[in-house]
Amino acid sequence: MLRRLLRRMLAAISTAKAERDLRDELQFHLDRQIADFVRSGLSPRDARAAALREFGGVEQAKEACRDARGIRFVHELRQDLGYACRMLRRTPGLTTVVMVTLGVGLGANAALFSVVDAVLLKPLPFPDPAQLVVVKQQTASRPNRAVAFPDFVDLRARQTTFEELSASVVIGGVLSGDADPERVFGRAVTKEFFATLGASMQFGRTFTSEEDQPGGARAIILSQGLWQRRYGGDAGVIGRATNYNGESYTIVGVLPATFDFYGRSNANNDIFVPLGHLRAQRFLQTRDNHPASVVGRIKGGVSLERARADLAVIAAALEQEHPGTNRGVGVTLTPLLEDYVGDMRLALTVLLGASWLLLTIACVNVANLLLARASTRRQEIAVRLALGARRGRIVRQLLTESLLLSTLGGALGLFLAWIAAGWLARFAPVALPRMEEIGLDWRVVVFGAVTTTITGLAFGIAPAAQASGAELQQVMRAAGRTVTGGGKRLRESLVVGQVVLCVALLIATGLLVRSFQRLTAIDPGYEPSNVVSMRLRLPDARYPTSDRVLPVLDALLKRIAAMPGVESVCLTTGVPLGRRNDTPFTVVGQPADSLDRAPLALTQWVSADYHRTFGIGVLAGRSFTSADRAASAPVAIVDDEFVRRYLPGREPSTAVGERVRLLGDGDRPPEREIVGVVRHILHSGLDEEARAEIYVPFEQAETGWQLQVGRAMDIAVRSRTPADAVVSEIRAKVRELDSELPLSHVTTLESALARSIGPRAFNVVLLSVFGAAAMLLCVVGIYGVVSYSVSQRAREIGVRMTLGAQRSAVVRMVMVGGLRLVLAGVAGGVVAALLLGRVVEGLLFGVEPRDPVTFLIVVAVLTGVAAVAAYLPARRAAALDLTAALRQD
Amino acid sequence: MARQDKKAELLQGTLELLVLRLLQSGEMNGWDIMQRIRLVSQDVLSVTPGALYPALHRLEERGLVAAGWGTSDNNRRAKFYSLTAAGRKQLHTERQTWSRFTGAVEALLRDA
Repeated sequence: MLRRLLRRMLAAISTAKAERDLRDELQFHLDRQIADFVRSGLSPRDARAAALREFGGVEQAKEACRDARGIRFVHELRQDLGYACRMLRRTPGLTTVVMVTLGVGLGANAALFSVVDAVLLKPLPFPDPAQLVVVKQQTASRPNRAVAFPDFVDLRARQTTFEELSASVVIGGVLSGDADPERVFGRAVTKEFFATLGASMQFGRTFTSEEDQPGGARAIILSQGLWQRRYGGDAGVIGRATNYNGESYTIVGVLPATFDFYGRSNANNDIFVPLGHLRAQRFLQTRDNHPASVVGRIKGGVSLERARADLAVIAAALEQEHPGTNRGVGVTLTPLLEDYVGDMRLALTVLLGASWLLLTIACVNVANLLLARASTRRQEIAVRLALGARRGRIVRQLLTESLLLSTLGGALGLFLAWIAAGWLARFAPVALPRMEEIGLDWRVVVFGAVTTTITGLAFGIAPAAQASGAELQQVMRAAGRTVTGGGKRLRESLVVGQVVLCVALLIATGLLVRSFQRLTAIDPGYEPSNVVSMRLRLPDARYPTSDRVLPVLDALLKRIAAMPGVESVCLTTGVPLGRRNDTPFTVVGQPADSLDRAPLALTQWVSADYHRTFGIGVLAGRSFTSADRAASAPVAIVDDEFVRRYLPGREPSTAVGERVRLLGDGDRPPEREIVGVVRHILHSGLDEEARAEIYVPFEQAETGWQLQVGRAMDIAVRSRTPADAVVSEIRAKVRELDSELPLSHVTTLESALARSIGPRAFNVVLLSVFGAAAMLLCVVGIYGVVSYSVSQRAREIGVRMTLGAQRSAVVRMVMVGGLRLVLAGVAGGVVAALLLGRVVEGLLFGVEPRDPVTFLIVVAVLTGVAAVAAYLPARRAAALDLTAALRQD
Repeated sequence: MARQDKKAELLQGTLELLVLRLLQSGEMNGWDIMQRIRLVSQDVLSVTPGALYPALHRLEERGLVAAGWGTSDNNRRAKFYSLTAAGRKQLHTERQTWSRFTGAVEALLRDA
């Protein structure tokens, strides 16, 4: 049985030999028959004729033999393919148009799918990645917080549904000692961190329990990237000592290149140290601070729901046991992949839907083109039917043609997708998670093959069915004079369908474009040009107290201010689009809430020239000056949003003189007098809602806090000279003060702003490309349909014009016919867009999904372009050679 | 087409049985088989090439005969068929079936 199958497959490949054998075998028989007849007296020619008659149909015999061997199917397939190739070569224009149309449609699909695959579908590179979840705590005011460390300890101790739970906090510092000082970022992790993920080291080991204690041995694990960069991939690095933040650490492990925790190239994965060392610090000891990211691996066979319930019970218990800090604090579980890429889901889904629309439009176009061609082959098919061909065989042959076309188009499409995927991976906004994994893998190829096949069958069926249903008599009798009837209606409805899809797609595109316009027109509240910022990290070991930190910062500010071209310089705990601190506060004179329910304001500790450097307008009172020192009266500056929300009905000028108290501003937070009101800024992005903001002079920060933030301040400089020059000069100045202080987070404010709208820009560009391609295909489709109907009705037009119709009337007649279709499609498209508006609502900004302006523009543009597409063949109709038209068959 | 009158058309199954039997005596090509059937049946049975060759290919496909190429007596390239072990077994089975069949028919004609 297997041998038989093998033989058949081999026969399929080498049919040439089999055919030759068959021919020789039957020829031998014929020759013997002929010899027989010659011997009995016939002439060679008569003998041959008699022998053929006697044989009774050589071709049929061959056919029956092939059937007996079970290779008839293959033989016919090869015939069909050969025939299809010849047909395609005969109409090179049509073939090219179809191939390109399909290539674009399929390529767009494959490219988008490769993005969706890399970002949303591919599992994380850990064993059983579906079991990994992220645990967060939530309160009424803050739904998505990290976890308090003591709560984590309790959760871990009391849970029953997890195999392992681990916590990490983000850390950063300076590596030095064995090479140039380098700013690094990473995590302090509990010792089960890598085991929870299921990640193993490429070299070395993970942390031991002894190391994960306060005062435990100082061990450090490196990422693959850091290891390559800093140690040149030297495997002997295990056991060596290096200097982190001024203290000696031993390298105990190196992670593999595939390690992926919130991104393979995530900057917070350079180094890992044990969390235990920090356990004694206050921020890990208290339950009202939430610094820890918690990752857990649910036990196999346990559902997410059960794990949620398990932790919810523990959270409820903690609420009872620690009512001061844990009241109203719940626990959420999110799958790790979801937490990482969930934001992209909507945008990618919309884009994928758009690419499907584009493919559908492309298929409709191709179907129309092939229908037109099929009706010109009706005579040929009728003849074949008359000669005895089976209808099924003819359908199969036509389908082979369309599948061949779609395969060619699909191959072109995959090639285009490969290029597009490479382009996307390079130029997609940095915010696109997992984008380093975008590429053509086997899944995308399979997807491409499947869509290609479905496409080929889809647009091939209509022409095949129609062509094979050709009535013999009707076609043989009066080709051309027959009204193309049913075929015409099908093609017209296809074009209407195309226009519907195109309109829907263009409206979606238009809405996103307008959203983008609205967004970029927003005034962020600060002046982004000519500002460059960077962060200076002073290692804890060498700068243990404020009187070491403050003079350095002071000296640096003075030196930078003295640089030529510098207009102003300042220090801050967070530049716009950078770090933010949300601090609870109370307004003196208003009823005070508990820490948990106190309102939050975006708070920054800044030096005197902050508002001037960022071009933030002062609405009332003053900005900070050098007079606001530690010894002078505690002051603060608020923004107009603060006044609007918390001093309602008051003018900004009257807010000056009010007092606020920031909770956490030391053990006994002082009352700070508001000395100025500034314009609010959109700190975290242009699509952010305005928040209340408070500014406090850095010099007046409470000592402990001042030390902590002082060691990692952002420096911002407004300068007329180009950014690169400014940065290298500042580096030089920093080196003057301390040769081992690297700068990090160097960026211009403008580029940070551009990066923040990058994802939207990306969506808009892609969707616009789809929209433009769809419109082009639609236009080609309309042109094709109108053009074809003109050529079919040439005779009728000729008659009309002979009978006295004006050319312009003829043109109008043809155009109206085409425009009727377009308008029907536009109406349908508008309805579809109204119904589907909700889908894209999440991506819009400042624009309603039923925005009338967008709808009007799209309708006008498409109708206009379509009118031109209908006009061109109409004009051709009016210019027909009358005699030729009348004589047309 | 077929010159039927007194000659009987062979049913497919019977044709295969005869081919297997003929090949038992040695290897033959299609022409020889056709001639032999005519000869031995004294022209009562005839088989058209359009039936014989498909039958031979069918038998080859089922593995009951094997085919090879050689030169015929007039030095032409021809395809020769020979019986395989499986074919021999099949022949034996078919002969028994045929005997039972004809025996039953005979019995009915005699004593019905």
